[in-house]
Amino acid sequence: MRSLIVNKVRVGKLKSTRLLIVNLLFCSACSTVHQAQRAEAPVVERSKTAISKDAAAKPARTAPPSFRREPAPAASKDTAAKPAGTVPPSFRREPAPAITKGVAVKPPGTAAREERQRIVKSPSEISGNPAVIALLNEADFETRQGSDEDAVNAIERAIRLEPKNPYLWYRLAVLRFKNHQWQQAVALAEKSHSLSGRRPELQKANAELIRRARQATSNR
Amino acid sequence: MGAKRRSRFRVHIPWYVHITVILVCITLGHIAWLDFRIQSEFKGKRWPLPARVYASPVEIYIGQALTPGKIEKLLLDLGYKKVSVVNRPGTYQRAPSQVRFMQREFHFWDGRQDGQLIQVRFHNQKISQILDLNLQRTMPLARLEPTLIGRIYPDNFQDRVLVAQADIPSSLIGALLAVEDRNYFHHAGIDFRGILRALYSNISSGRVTQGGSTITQQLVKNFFLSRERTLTRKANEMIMALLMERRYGKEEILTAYINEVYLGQQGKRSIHGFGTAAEFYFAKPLNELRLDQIALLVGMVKGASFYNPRRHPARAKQRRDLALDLMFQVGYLDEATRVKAQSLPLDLSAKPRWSFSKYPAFLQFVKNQLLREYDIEDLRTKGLRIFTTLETDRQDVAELTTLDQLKKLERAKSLKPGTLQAASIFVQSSTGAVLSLTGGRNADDVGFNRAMHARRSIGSLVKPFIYYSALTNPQQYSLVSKVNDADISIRLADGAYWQPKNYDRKNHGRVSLMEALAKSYNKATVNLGREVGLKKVIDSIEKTGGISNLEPFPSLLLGAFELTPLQVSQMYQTLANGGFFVPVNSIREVLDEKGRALKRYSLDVRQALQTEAVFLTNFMLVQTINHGTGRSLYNIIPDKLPLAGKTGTTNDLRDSWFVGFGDDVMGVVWLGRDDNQSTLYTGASGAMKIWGNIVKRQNMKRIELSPPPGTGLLDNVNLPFGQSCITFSSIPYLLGSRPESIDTCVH
Repeated sequence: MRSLIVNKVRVGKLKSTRLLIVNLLFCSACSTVHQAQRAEAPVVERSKTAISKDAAAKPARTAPPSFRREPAPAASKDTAAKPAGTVPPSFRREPAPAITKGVAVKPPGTAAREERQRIVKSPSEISGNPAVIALLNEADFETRQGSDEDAVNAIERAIRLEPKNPYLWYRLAVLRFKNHQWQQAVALAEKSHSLSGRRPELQKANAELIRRARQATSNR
Repeated sequence: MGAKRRSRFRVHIPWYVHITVILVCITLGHIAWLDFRIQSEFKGKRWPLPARVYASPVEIYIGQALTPGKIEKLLLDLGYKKVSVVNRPGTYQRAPSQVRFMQREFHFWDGRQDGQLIQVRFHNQKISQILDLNLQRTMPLARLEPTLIGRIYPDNFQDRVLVAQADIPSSLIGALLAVEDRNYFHHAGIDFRGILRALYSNISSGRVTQGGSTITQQLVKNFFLSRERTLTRKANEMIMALLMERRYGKEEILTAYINEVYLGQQGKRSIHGFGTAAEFYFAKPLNELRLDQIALLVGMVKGASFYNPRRHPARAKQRRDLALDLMFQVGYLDEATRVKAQSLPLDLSAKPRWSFSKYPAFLQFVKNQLLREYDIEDLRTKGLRIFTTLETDRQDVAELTTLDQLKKLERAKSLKPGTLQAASIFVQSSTGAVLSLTGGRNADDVGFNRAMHARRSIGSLVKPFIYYSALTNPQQYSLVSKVNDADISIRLADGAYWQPKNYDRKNHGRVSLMEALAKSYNKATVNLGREVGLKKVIDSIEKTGGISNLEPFPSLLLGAFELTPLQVSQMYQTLANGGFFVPVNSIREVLDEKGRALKRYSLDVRQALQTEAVFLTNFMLVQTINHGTGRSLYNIIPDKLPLAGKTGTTNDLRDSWFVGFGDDVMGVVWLGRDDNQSTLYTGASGAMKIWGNIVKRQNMKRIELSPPPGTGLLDNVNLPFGQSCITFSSIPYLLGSRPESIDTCVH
């Protein structure tokens, strides 16, 4: 079994060096995520205190809201710069892309705009969970090896760990699309879309995938 | 005259020659026939191998909330042994904040996982590091081998774990040869010296201590011949042993013997082969057994029930020591090893609690799913390995809690013990994977599986789908729209009038949709359902999957139709999964005997309900727990953990239902009686208590409602709610249909 994922190894000497390199890359990816999380931590704190103040001001006994609402600073600035008509006001306060944590450390503006054009994200941008990152790396590896089935396995394992991560569902949709399973590609992209909150780049990618899959179905 | 002529050519052959020729012919024919049998049956010998069913493997990863104690329990369940130095697969050592273990090799559906030496460190009740000690590098995640939870046996109930020739420990061969057949590698199938030696030893000791049968003879006997002790059988046995030796190699015969031999019984299940016996008596794979343990098993070949180490430990130990003596005699052991091995205790594992399944109700569900795709004969004999979705720790909690809570509920209302029954299903919302399933109060009971087969009225569990149907029309309905909770009278087809009542026998006037659902008002719901239309409501329910042909009776609006808990779980899975249907399922992968995947069970989803309207509905279900009929859940679950849920109660309190979900786990609990009499409990006072106590011990995550694209939030709305005025920090709505006027209140 060719695999990067660390718990099933049958490594020869050659493979172990390769794994070492991958591992080093992986560690650097991890540290980026950690930095990203650290950088963002105060923001999250602030939003939390804002909520609790909010609650303290009111006498009612409402439970803490169960929305994901941490604002992502870089992205919200970006959208604020857009013409007001395209983005309804409520949108701005919508859930923080917990997942774009990696993006948040980048300086807002140009980098963020570039980001939006790039649909394919690196594993460490998709998730902050090392296990999910490892599985995504494995999926990438398997895809490069041409074994999509194993890539699907890895993504499904990742989804079991982080089922509300829209990027994982998108990745699965792409793999199905590659495999000419148009209907499933559409359904999975829709699922990704439903979880996409305010991630226009992902929404665009999903819409594109759905369009192409539908086209393929009608061509058939 | 004719006779005379013939007699001219006649050569006189004595009668005994005739007889001899005939006899030789018969004998040769017989031998040829035996040879044919050996070749046809042994060559293609396929033991019927039971299917083995596994639970979901536990994944451990950095950042996971897990304690050293929990991992230790997982390892112990898998038969790992605590040692001071981890040096063999299946062993572990534990320090206060770290656990080190060596994994066993295991064939997963996505490849082989080798035995790695792993060290897990903990910090603040979480895993902080996973280290592969051989390669000296950190791992983000590791997968433990899954627990075996059931077997599907062949008709003869023989259980057998095949051991390949390469995997046979040399000590087993040494012990077998010493005890059963010393000249095995030198004789031709029959060992005349062995017979003489046995004879001598039996005569000199005055009793039968040794048999003269070779391993080949024993195998032939087990394979082809009856158990009767006759000379003919003995003769056939000898001939066939000789033939077999001519046809097949020593190793091949020995391997077959090791897999064939009978070594014990558990109810109907018979234990065949050393691989199975190692698992049965020591809960370990054969290659992890110690020398003395192997000697014990070899000693048992002579009489598995007579030397049963669990029933006759002293006798078995004596036999083991004799086996070790014999091994010493033939020079396989040195004196020190023998003495040490003989000083060791038997070290048996606890007798397995189950022979068919550890979790019969769940296994029944698995089998049900399998039978749709596989032939029963294949399931029983092909040695399939079936990987399921069951999470054993959740299942254990569900079983124990159900029984415990039922006893408490019975005591509280002075019901006779055993009156109440319950069933539960917990599912991962996003994948539909069944995490636990109970079919009754006693988990070991293999009888009526209520989760799958008890069809009961669902009562108020239907209501969210009525509100959902309304919310799919955002121009007309929002969460704060009003609906009239007032008297209603519907003329039925038979001319009678149907006049539903509220549970508290009161009318509540004009109430918001949110309040009406959270407080489960019947009249408001029926009014809303009539406004929306029965057809639309039925359509929504049927779209969730698993239900069809609902009759359009108005009473449907109060759940006057029967579903099994399993069907209810499918209904709510679609809701909990944001409107996406995934079949509730229990199988991840099926591998054949050689480890090839037979069928992939991929994660297939289908959009069944509208994401936005589902989101609004789920928001209301959170309010049901916060302010509605599910409030008392927080007497059980601490910290007001945000959860969504719905209670259900049917007429005369016959059925008490609760469905609830957190971030990614959804659970259904039904409480009722087999005689369909009153349970004396409502959904909230009965089923919800069981649900809450299960969830409390399962680490359920708070529900995170991510507003889908196309929704907005109203901030800080004071809304009348029953007798009080409640401030909602946010109420969602669909973009483009922001509620214009809201009936607010002042504190």
